[in-house]
Amino acid sequence: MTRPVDIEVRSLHKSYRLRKRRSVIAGDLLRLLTLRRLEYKSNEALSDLSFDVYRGECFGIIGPNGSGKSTLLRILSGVTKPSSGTVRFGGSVGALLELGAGFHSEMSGRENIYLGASLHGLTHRQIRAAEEEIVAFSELGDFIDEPIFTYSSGMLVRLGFSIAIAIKPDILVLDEVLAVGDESFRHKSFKAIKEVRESGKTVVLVSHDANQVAAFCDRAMLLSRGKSILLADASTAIRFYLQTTEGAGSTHYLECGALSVAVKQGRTLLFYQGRPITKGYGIYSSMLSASGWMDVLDGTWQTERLDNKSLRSTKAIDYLSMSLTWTVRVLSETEVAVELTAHLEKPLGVDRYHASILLDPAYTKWSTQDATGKFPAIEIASYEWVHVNSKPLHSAWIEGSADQASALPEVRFSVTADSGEFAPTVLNTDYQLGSRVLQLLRRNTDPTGTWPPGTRTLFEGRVRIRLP
Amino acid sequence: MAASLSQYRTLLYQLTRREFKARYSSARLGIAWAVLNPLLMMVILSVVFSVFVRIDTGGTPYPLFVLNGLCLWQFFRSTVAATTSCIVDDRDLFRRVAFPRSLVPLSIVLSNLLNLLLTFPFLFFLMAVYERPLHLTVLLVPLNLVVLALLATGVGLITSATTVFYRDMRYMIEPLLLVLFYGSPILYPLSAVPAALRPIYGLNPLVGILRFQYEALLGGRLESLCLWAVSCSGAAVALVCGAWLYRRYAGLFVDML
Repeated sequence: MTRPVDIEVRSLHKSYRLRKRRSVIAGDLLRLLTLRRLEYKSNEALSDLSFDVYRGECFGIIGPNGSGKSTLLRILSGVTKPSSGTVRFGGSVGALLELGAGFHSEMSGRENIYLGASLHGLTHRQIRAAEEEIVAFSELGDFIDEPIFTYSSGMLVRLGFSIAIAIKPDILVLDEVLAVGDESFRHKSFKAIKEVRESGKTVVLVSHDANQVAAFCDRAMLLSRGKSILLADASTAIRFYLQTTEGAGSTHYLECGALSVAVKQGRTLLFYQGRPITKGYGIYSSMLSASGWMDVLDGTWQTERLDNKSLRSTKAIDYLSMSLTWTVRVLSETEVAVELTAHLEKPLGVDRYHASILLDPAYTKWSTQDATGKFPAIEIASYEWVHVNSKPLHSAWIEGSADQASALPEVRFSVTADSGEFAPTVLNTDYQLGSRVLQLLRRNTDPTGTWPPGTRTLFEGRVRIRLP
Repeated sequence: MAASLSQYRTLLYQLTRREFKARYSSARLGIAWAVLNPLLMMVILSVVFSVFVRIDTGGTPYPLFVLNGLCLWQFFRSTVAATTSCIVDDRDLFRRVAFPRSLVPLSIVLSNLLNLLLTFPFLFFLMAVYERPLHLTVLLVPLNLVVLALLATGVGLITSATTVFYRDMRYMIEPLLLVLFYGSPILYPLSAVPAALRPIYGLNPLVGILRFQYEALLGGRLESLCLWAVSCSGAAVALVCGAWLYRRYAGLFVDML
């Protein structure tokens, strides 16, 4: 049985045109007269977005700042038009982008009820019918006939929300308006929105507050850089969002179908249908040099190039006179390439380095070219390394597979042939991060133990998933 | 979004009310300014142009002559000036709510029209003071006001939409209005314009409207209907252009705010 769709969004694009120079009207007129196109540079805020919102559900839209949430909200509410693509509604839409839109401070609360409600498309008769209900809900009492410049900000918000809830559209689009007023009014507005939902109306809630979305929504969509990264049930989407955004710095998401790739400050996290494959640092690397262990997680990475399929970031490590470049590239729906290069300004003594992938504890088995084994249960204070293959290999790989019940894909971590010889290594339990560690380790085989200045590729590998 | 006529009507009424209230509610004299403003202008101009510089108005007392033109001019000027920046000034409203965009400039026209109507009793009072008879042609004055309002609406729609994309329009509009002010028979009668210039001069749509107003209210005989036809056409062209601009670009206003 298919559920009725209340909002159908197809191939939605929205780009903002920014004029390259602050143009003078005369210059543009000249261009128009000579039939030349005006020069614009466009900034894509939403690209190729398609989704359905079903009747009667609460649909959450989450994402970091600048992800396109507000643009989508404006299109859904009709404030602006998409550049291309379609949005179809199965009923009337009421949108609350901000409370108290159009209020006039010299006018009384009651007059502003009429103004505000008429802006949302209510007729005089409808407003008159709802007037007393609005006044009562706002708890403003005698203040309702005072000019609203005498109101406190809390009173304004109460008035705005009371009007909003009285509009009663078929589809309600809300923008983080729940966090308003004092505790008791907030409770009351929560209840009012719950009632809207229970009456079978469709609600779209846009928020960067994951808890709000978790509390209200059935399903949620995560937006990043104008694209839908994940559309799943709300709790999965929220967990995904929180796991990929914790800690400082911004998270970049790469587009990859059922597999989601999130890159944040030297760690690369993989998710399958919103559920984590990796845990903790995800894919990362560290190096043992003359100055001790250097971890890629230390310090700050600068994003050098970012598009929908790849990310390259760099980091300078001053005390080693070295800089690292970390590239993550989506090759297909099941394969991701990672590459780590180092640029040395001075010779550097290096003993060994590794690239590792930290898997979720749901992964219980590992295998390499010539060995297989099982992970024991993760226990506190137990580090148990298993050197599964002491002999370094060309084209080394290591693989983890999960319980059948978990329905997580197999993960194979491999190095390309010309990356040199790596020894697959397994860390059975990592109690701190609660993860399984699959590692590819390379020792410096140079007799001097020193790398000359210049650029060298440390590691070029692939992570491939095989669907269960 | 399909909106019914009564939704439009309610919203237009509310926006007009807001516009009108916004103008006078904070002033102590309130709505009296609607009349006081053209009145003060009339006094100043009358002193300048009947004491310092003499302008021959063909027997019509200068205060009456200038107030007649000034009322209409003030309406046109304040309407166009206010609509030009209305979208940019009210950006919060435009960014937050989806509603028919053209209702904001329309509400400005209506509120200014109300303002203009308030000055008419004084105009009639002044005519009584100067013992000028009322002619039957006075019945055509409302029609003239409609044409003027349509012209102001059309121009306002064009300038407000243009301002969204070219903020320079805000600054250009004042000098343009000044040119229009001196290019219209407000301070001086039409007879002061050299005959050779009349064909070009008459292309200003305000000329026909101002002349019609003078003839209907103070002359009693409509002699310049050709000029008035130009005004009507001008109003129609401005209205069509303005409506087209809104139809095509109103959905993108918010992106430029």
